[in-house]
Amino acid sequence: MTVSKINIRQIGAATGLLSPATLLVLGSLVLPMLILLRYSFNAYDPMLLMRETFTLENYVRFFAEPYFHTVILTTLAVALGATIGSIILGFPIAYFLARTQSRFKSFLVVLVIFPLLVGNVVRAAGWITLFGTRGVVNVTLMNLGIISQPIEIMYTDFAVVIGTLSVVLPFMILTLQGVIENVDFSIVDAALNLGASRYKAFTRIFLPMIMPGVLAGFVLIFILCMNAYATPYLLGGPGYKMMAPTLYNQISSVANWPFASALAFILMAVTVISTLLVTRLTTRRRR
Amino acid sequence: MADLNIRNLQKDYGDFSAVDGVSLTAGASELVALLGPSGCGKTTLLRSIAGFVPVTAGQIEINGKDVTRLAPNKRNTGMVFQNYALFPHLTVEKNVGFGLEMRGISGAEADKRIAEALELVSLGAYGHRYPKELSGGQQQRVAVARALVVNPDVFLLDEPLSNLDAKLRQSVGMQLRDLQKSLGLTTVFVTHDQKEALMMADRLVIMRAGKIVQEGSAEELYDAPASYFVADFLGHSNVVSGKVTPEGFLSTGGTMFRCDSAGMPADRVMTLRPENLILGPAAVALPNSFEARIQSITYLGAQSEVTLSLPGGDQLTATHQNRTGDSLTLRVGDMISAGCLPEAVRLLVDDMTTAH
Repeated sequence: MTVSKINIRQIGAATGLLSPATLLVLGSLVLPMLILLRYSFNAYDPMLLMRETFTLENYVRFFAEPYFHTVILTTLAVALGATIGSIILGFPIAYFLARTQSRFKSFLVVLVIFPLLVGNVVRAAGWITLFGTRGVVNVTLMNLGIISQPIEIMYTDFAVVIGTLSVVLPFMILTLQGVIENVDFSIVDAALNLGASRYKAFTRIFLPMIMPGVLAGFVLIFILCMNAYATPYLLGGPGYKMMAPTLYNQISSVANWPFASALAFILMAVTVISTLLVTRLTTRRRR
Repeated sequence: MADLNIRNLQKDYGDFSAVDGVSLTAGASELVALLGPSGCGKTTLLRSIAGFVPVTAGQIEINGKDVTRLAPNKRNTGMVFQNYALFPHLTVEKNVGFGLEMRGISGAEADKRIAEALELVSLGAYGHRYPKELSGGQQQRVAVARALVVNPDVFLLDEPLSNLDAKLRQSVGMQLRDLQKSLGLTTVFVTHDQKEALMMADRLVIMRAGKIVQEGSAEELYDAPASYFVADFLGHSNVVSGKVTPEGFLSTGGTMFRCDSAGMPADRVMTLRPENLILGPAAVALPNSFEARIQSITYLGAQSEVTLSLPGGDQLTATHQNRTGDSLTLRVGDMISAGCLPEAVRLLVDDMTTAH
């Protein structure tokens, strides 16, 4: 009797504590997504804007029009480029931060986090002043006589990849730092003791050991990149062919909610599938 | 198997000397234990033999070859780490085979040696397991097999038993020792646990603050400690303050302990092992004999620890062997005869109360 009473009280307490979060998730995430999912099967009508029906035409359109193939491929390429770039650039910094005995360590970590305190938009605006036709880089190069015409940096794939990379780099560094700090370096010592060179100890022991953590970082950053909106929009221009800007264009300029909704679910599906694929490929021999 | 020869090794971190002018040798198939409290430099010394610690000065020779400036992977030492440091992403076989692979040994020759090494530690059937699927004791044996499969010149063990539970420690320690003897391994092992050192080592090296305080066999160190620090570190000792007299040692409480004090400086302390303090009628005839009050008795099964209060206020602890049918009854508050042989009384340099 008493046991069940306690259980009921515990269940009651748990329900009480969990309900606010559950309601928030249900109300702000699940419900809008269900509505969007429904929208994606509606039809666009120039007069009514949205007509209730059940059609696959929005999805069919995405796969039929080559324009949208470019959009999804650009999105994948930018996201992959920025994610891999952030691993390559972030790893040495993360390694240093994880291993340093310096008393300035926490200050250095703050330096890494610092860009996060500046919003995406502000940072992109900063890039514009640097890379515009009359930006710092072009003016300097022209004044030095290295180039005679301003080079196009803004509104290129390069600008978008670099911009996105710089946004996600702090996240990557912090993730990798956490991963490396968890490594028991006596295991690396053991490899050296058994005759491995520093290079062999790194590639054969250290890298495989941190791989699951690196993969977690990869997935996290890849998802951020796939969904990037502000940076591609500001550095790639309003017509830049990535999914999030394209999706928002459909809502803001053509008010095509059904197609925008379909784009949203396609983006989500592609993100999930490519993440699973990468995870599967890199862990095939791991248990 | 080879000899290890260390001369005047020095490792400084700024003003602090972790290893301070240590010279040490280990002969073929000798098992040397580095023993001392934490921070005494024993681990730094072991790690500098393996090559992980770049030394400030001095020389390390293995087999007559100077390895002082050699990278760890060029030294051919086999080390067992305190936490075993097994490669978590490799099977037991691959763990053991790693050192062979790094030496370019592969195929049938490698398979044969891996199997032999695993057989040596009775883990023949565990080759395909991953380290996390093994118990602590099994992991330790994998670490041993992995270090030995490459035929190291020097076998290094960093607190090899400290992560095992107390019951396993003794048997694993003896197995390690048997293995070391049968393979004739020159071995250095670090421990802070005196029982481990006494049980396993041919020679104990007691370290303190980066220096060697005393080295010798377990019996030598236990029976003839060079200083109060050693007497206190190995086993237990009663320590009595007072002054050296021509007849022996006069405690501050006024008790005279007769012993050979010829040529002793006056500023010594007296130590007496609890097992050498004899209780009851047998004590009366001893050259050092006194009446004392029993202050407390701690029953420990095979023995009891009996704390005595001497008339002048000195306190001594005796270890009394408990035997069925013993006529001697011990009761707190009773007076009892206690005594010891002059040879049991040791007058030692007091290096504990002086600043260090």
